[in-house]
Amino acid sequence: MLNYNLVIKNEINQESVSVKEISPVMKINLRGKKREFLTNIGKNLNMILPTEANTSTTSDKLTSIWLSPDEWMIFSNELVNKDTNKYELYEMLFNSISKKNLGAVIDVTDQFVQLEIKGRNIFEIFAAGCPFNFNEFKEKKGSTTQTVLNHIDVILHHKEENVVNLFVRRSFAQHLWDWIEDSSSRL
Amino acid sequence: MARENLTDHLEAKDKTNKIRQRLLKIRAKKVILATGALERPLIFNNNDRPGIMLSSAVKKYSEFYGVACGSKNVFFTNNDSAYESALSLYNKGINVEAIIDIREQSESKIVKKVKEAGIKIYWSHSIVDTTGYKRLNSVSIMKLSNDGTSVTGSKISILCDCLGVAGGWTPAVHLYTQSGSKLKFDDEKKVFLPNQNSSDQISVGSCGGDFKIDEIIKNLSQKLKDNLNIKETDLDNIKVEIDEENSKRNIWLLPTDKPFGKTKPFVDYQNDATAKDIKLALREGFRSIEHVKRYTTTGMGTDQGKIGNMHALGIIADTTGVKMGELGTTTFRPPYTPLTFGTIVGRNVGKFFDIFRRTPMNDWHVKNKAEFENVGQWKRAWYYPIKGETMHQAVQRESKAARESAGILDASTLGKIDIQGSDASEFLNRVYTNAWSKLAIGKCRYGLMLNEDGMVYDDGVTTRLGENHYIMTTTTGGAANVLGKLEDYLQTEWPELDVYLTSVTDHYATVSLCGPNSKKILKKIIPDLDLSNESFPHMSFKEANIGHIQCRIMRISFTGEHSYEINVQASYGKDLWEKCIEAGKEFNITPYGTETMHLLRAEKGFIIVGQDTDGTMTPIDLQMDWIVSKKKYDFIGKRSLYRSDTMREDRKQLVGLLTDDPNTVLEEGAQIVSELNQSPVEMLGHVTSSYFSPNLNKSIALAVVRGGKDMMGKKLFVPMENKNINVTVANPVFYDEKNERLNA
Repeated sequence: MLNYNLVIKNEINQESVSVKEISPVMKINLRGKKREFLTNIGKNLNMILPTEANTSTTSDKLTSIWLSPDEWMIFSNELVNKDTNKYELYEMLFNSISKKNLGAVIDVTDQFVQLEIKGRNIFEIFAAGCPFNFNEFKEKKGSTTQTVLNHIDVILHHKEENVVNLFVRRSFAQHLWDWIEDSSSRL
Repeated sequence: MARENLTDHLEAKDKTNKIRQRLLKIRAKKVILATGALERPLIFNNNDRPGIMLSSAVKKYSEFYGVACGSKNVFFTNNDSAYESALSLYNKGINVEAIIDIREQSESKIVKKVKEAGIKIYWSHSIVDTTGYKRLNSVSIMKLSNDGTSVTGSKISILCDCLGVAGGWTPAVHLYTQSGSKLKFDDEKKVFLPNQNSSDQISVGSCGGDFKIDEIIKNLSQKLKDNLNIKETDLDNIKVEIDEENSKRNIWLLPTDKPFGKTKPFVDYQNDATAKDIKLALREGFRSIEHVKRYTTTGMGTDQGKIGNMHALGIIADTTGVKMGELGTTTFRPPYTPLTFGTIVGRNVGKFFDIFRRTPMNDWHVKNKAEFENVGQWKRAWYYPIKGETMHQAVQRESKAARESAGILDASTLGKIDIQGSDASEFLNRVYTNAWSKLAIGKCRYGLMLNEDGMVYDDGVTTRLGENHYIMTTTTGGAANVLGKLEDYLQTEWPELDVYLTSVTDHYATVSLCGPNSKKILKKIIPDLDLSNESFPHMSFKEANIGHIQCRIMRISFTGEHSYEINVQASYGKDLWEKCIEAGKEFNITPYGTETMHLLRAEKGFIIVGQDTDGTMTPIDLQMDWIVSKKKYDFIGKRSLYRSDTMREDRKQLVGLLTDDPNTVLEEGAQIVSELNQSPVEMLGHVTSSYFSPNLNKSIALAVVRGGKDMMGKKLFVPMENKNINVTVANPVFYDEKNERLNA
C-alpha cells in the first residue's frame, strides 16, 4: 500500500482570507468535437458540458469547466478515497469514449492541485498578481477563467460568493501557495 | 497605472516593515482627466543660474513650505501669472524688487493691485543677461523692440537674489496621449490641446486648454453634462470674478544685445541643451523633432521635456518657418512621474524572484541534503553529498553504485504528453524521424524530433498504451515548447488528424531504478509481477498495482543498466520513493542526481538535447542515421535533411574524445584543433560533455568535430590557457558497446 501525500501542509486562516488544499479530488480532462462525444458524455455524466467560454456546469457530484471549444475539465464535488486511484467514472468514460475513438479521456487528478480560497478579500489577492479583469467574474456564480497568478498558469472557478476554486499544476503549487500566503499577509 | 504612496508621509519609526508603495492598474469605463498645466520658463541669455526658478515655484515655496526663496525677488513674465506670485510674496512681507514684463501693457485687476502695492513694473522689457556665481546677483534688462526680435536703449541693472520666471502654461496632456488620443496645436494660445479621443474621456481645466477659472467652471460643467448624460451640475450656480486676464506675448527665444554665438540661453536645464544647440542641429540638417531631440538630448532628462520642450519646438518652428502644429511633439511615454523600481517589481524579489517547480519527492531530497540544480523551472536533485564529500566525490560514488548494485533517480520532471485519437500513430510518424505504426501495444520506442530545418529539437521515449493511445516523454526543459509546437501543428498544419494532446507531466511521479539489482528491488515491492526478460523485456511496459494503487512501469534505460521507470500518481510518489529506498537497503541502493545521470549516459554515448546539440545538429551529425526512416513519406524536418548544406560531409559531427592522460578531464566548451602552430588557428569543434568515469577509470568526453566521423583514432589538441591537452578521437560509446548490461 502506498501512502497519500498532500502538497500543502498547512492552511491560511486570516480574517478576510482563508486558503486550504482540497484533496483528493478526482479530475478528468475531456477532449472531443463529435456529436456522439457530447451525447455520450451527457448520458454518462447526467449533465451537460458548458459550451459557452469561461462558464461551468454543476451536478450533485460533479462540476465541469469549459477550457476550450473541445476541452473540459470535470472534477468531483466531494472528496474521493485516497486508498485507491482507480475511479469508476474515469474507467467508464475511458471505455466509452477513448476506446471508441469519440474523443479523449485523461485522468488529471494529480496534474492539478485544488485550492479553495475564501473570504471577502480574495479578489485583492488576485489583483496583486493577475492581469485578468474580475469585474464580471465575481458577479456570476459558476464563471471560470484560465489566467496567470504570479506568472503561474491557473484555472479559476467561482464556486459561490467570495469562494473561488483555484487549480494549479502540482509542481507549481507550493511556490504559488507561498506567494498567496505572502500576499494575504500584506492586504 | 498609478502609484499609491502608503507610508512615505510617516516618520521613520512608523514605516518599519510596512508597505511603502503599491502599483495599481485601474480600468475605467469613463475617464475625466484633470491633470492641470505646467508653467513654462522663458528662454533668455544666462537663464540657468542658482536662484532662477519658475514663478509658480517661488509661490509654492512661500505658500506651501513657508520659505522665502530670496530677500530681493524679481519676476520676469509674459503673462499675469507672475503678478499672482509677486502679490503672494508681498502679502507675506517678502520683498519684491520689480516685475519685468515683455508685454506692452496689461489692464487686469491683478496688475492694478501690484501697482497699488508699489512694486515697480518694467513694461516691454526683457532680461538680456544675469550675473552671479553660486547664486544670482543681478539681472540686466533692456527695452524690447516692437517686433520682439531685438532690444534697444540702455541697459538697466537690477540687484536681486531670486528671479521667478513665468512663460505661460503648457497643458499636461501626457495621460491623454498615452491612451492613444491625438493632439492639435492652438495657434492663438500656443499650446497643444486634446483633439481626437481614443476612449471615453474628457480633459477638464487647464489640461483641456481652459486657463481662466470662470472659463474652466463653465466648460467643465458642459463637458460633464455631455459625458455623463446629466442635465445639471453643482457648478451651474457658481459665479466667479477673476483678477487675471488672458493676454500673453509669446516669444520663444528672447533677444539680447550680445551676438547670439556668445549667449547661453538654456532650453533643457537638466541636460544643459541651449537654443544654440537646437539651431546647430537644424544647420546640420535635422528637421524632425525626434531627430533634434536625439542630437541635442533636449527633453531626455528626468523631466522628459516637461519644462523646455515647447520652447525647443517653438525655436525649431521659428527657425525653419514650419508651423508648430505640423512639427508635432515627441512621444509622451509613461510614467508621467518617475517611480521607484521597487514599485514596479513589487514582491518579485528574494524567493519570489523566479518561479520554481518541485517534484513530489522534493521534501525527501531536501531532508537528505541534496544539492539542487535548476533545469528549466524545476529544482532537480543534482547530487547527494555525504560526510563532506565534494561534488566530484559524490558523483564518483553514485556512479559506481548505480553500475555495481542499484541507483535510484527522481525522473518526475520529464515532460509527459498523453496522446489519444484514431490518428495517433500517423501523428507520431509525422513528428518523429522513425516509424511508429508497427510499434506493438505495450512496447516503448525512442524517438528524435526535428525542427523544420532538420536540426534535432527534442527526444524521448514514447510508449504505446493502447491501439490509439500513447504516452510521450520529452526532455525536462523542452516539455512546454514541445507541447506547444505539436498543438500548433495539429491546429494549423494537420487539422484533419483525429488526435488529442494533453500534458500529464505533473500527474505522475517517476522513480527510476537502475543497476544489476534493480530487478530484485522491484520484485520486493511488487512480488506478483513477472519480471522475467521474456515477460517484461527491455523497451516494454506493464501496468501493476502496489496495494490498491495503480502504476505503470516502463523497462527503459538512460544509463545502459537494467532499469525500470515506475510512474505513479504524484500524490503517492514520495511514499513509493521511500519504499524503494527501504527495499533497496540490502543492496546499498544509492540515490543519484542529475550529474551522475549525465555521467552514466555519457559513458554510453547517449546524447542530451541541449547539451550535445545546439540547434545546428542533424541526426546524421549525431551519428544516429539509424533513427531516420528512409521509407516514410514525410516527417517534420525531412526535406531539410536533403539540402546540400545539411548533407555536407564536413559538418560538425558527434564523436568520443579520450585524453592521452586518462586523469585529465577536459572542460566542456573547450575548443578542438588539429594544428597548434597555425595562425589563425582553425577551430574544428568543441567539447560538449566531459567527465571522469569511475567505471572506466579514465576521463571521457563527447565532442562535435568537423568531419569527425572519418577521424576515428586521429590525434587532436585541446588548447587551454596554460597547456595543450592531447586527445584521440574515439567511438562515443565508451561502455558496454554490445548493450549486454541491459539484461544483466
